[in-house]
Amino acid sequence: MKPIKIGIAGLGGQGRKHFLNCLRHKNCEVIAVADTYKRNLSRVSELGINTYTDYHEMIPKEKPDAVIIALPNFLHADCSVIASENGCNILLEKPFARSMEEARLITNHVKKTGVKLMLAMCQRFINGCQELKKEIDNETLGRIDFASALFFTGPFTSGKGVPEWIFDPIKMGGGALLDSGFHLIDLLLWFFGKVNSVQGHTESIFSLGYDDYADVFLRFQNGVNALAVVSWRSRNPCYRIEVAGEYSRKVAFSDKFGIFDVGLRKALFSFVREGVSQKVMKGRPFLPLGDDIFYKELDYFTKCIINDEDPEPDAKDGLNVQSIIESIYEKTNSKN
Amino acid sequence: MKDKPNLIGLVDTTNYDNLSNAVEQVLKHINFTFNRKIKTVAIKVNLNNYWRCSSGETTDPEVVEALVDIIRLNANPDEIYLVESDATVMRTDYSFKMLGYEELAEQKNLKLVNLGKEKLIQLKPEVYVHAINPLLQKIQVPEILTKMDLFISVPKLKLHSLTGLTCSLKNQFGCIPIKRKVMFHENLSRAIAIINKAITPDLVLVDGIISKGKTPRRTNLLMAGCNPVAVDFVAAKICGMNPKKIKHLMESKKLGVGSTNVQCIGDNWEHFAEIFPKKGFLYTKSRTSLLTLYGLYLKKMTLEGKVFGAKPARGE
Repeated sequence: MKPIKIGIAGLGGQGRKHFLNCLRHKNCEVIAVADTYKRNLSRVSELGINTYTDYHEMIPKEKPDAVIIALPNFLHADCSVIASENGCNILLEKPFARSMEEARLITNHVKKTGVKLMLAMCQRFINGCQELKKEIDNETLGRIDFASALFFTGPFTSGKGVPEWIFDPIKMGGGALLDSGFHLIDLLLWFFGKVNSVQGHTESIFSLGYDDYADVFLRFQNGVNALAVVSWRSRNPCYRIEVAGEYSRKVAFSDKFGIFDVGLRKALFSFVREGVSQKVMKGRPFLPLGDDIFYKELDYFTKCIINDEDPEPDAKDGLNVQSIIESIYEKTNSKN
Repeated sequence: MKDKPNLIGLVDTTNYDNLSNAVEQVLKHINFTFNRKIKTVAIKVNLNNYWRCSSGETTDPEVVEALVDIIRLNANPDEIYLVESDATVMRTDYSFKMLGYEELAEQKNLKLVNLGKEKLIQLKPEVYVHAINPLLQKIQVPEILTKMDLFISVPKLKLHSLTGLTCSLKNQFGCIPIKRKVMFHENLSRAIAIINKAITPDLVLVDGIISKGKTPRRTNLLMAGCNPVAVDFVAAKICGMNPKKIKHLMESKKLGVGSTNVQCIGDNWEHFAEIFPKKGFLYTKSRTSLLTLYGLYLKKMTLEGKVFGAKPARGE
């Protein structure tokens, strides 16, 4: 079977992760990478991969089977439109878009062109969350009354460099709620289905023109009440999902090497810098320890393309989450 | 004949109604008086990241506010500048905004200066001679700092993975207006000594209200001195470290930045040493060793592909 030809737009923190996972996935072949940072590109070109400084050039020229979009928030819509118009399937990093308007634009283009779009909601691939989903679907916890989801991490948590665009509220489109909250709301919708009512509250102590803390209370049609809290203030990352049913209670933690592996990513990229070729990487595991959620996510995406199945979450799921976030921002009047 | 000891003032801020009173008292302890003729004052804060002062990593704007009030009361200079430079992972313009300094500057009519945007001058020959390698010879200093009538350093009391201690001497390292300061890490002790020799603060006011050792902790300490070496000597004692083992402290002493002959006045330093969250020997060593071992394991496993039933490369 021919491997899927992949183009990667954006080689920042998340883009590198996808890049490295593509290198080791047997069904993927990275044919091109676009990034504005030339130092990153020079490392990649050493592996014999075509490099571009602009995805506008890369996508029409290379016409990959799939494009992984790991760009800053303000480029998500533009790049998704170009990719879909060129018939490329899309794996789009969160958040879906900066606004409902952009989200609708992406959705319409994807629908029109018939390409597959999968939102990179990596938390759906955390072992604990997948087990939770099974328990909820099988009703082994009994009737569920309450669920809580905490996600305390953000661009300022790790103490590593922060890209300039993060400080621009227009380019960001929102803060912790849009960026981190997108994950939790998506996860809760995946668990519990349709929402009846939404209440939310956002705060900003960093004065960056967007929220750095948010809590959201969701009441679902099946009677579940859920609280999601995100914060960018904490120096100590935290991830915890808890579902309380009338029979029992279950908690999912993130595996430390799954989500919070900033340092490891850096170490891993050094293998590429050291000249380890794409051929050597193929089929080799990167993380001997931990829950390799980004690899599982890529694996699922490639399977959907190969088997011509619709991936989840897709643009429609993204629109649902985006509309919830937008409604909270409208009520709290805190966006930008 | 032995040098006159450097006076180091220590106060427990809980004994005062407000921070201004505590700052006033700690300056009284070291007999510091403001010359009424001063026109310009620079205050170097410690903003190494985007973390707020409650994390124990950055200078508390309230301490700076109290200091500014005392300066205005006693000297009323034309301009007070708050200075900091970009670091490897921090951009000063954003951290001024995020950590409350932009708001403070507006309230107190202060000027925020990103030293990275200022005109630079070469080190003086007597300092340059200590720059023992080409990298250190790249060190330049912002001209603005050499023109100040009064230069005050307001460091945070905390521990550092490379230097052991971060206090007044290390805070001066932030006066080097190069973003990627990580380039100096191989010669960090000498780089710190050189910048301190080039620009020595006239006054050091240490923010130890929340200090950072193994964890952040409220220690309610304000410490002042006019000699950064002496201040760091006492700071090291409070943090449970042997000052003689802190390389940049000893290098600075060797270069003549100051002496370690100190006389503490005010509250007892041992009281603060008792509550400072020290890092245990085993904690530091075991963490470093574990990370090194894991790094080696990761590299070996990845390159050899020995875990999880690695598949052979396509085409092999």
